[in-house]
Amino acid sequence: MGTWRWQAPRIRSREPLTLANLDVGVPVTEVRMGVDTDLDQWRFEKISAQLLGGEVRAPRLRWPSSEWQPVVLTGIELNQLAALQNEAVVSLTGEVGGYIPLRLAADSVAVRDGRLANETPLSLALLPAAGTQAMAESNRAVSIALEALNPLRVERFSAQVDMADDGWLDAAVHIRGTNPQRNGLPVVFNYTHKENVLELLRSLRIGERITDRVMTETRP
Amino acid sequence: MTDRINGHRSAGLLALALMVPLAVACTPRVALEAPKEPITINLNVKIDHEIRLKVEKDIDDLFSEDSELF
Repeated sequence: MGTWRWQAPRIRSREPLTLANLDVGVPVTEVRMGVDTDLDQWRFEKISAQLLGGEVRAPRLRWPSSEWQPVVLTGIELNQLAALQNEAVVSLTGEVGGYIPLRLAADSVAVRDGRLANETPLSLALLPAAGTQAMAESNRAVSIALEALNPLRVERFSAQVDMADDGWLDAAVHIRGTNPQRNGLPVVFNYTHKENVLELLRSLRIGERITDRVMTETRP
Repeated sequence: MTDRINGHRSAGLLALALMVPLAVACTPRVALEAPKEPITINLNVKIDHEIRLKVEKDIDDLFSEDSELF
């Protein structure tokens, strides 16, 4: 009678694992990484992917983990980012990059002191949109600010990004540029943004989930 | 008489010679220069999401307590 010896499972990729397309709300393509797991913890190595015309790279990522693990972004094209808008409010050109330290817990993702900066000169222009028009009409100061910003040649862009475990994003953007249509008026634009990204994703998906649920429940 | 005329001509030429640099000096120069101090715009945005649903009676059951939608 033989004895069966329990051994913990281990899965390791011999060749880099590749994914043609990953849908996380933003198109991520050409994902490439090595994988090593005992099914409790997953270790990914030499990760690279294409994102918004640029590249995402990380030497290694572990999940779940309590460590802060850096992800490097390069050549992110702002015109591709602007194309994600449901209603086109702003037109952007140029490339940004930086690093985002991530903490990949079992059921949450957090960001601490992520930094982004421009890699090329950027441009910003406000497009005619109902929301922007209403803002301009509501307040003279807002109207002046929008006129100063539109359009803007950006020489310096920097951003700091934090996100808590519960999804609250805290971003602070500093932009320094000139307005070519206002005789080269120098403009400094400081923008802070607070929003719960998890709730944002949930609100974006709710329509699709309801449709799926209705279709499933009413199917004969 | 001729000397007088020549004297007048010389004075005229001298006046003209003096006026040329004066005219040059008076050429209007319009220069539009950007203000040196930048205009600073501070904008703070906080977005709260509120999801409101209005459903008909027939599909109300789909959103019952045991539904996994929320």
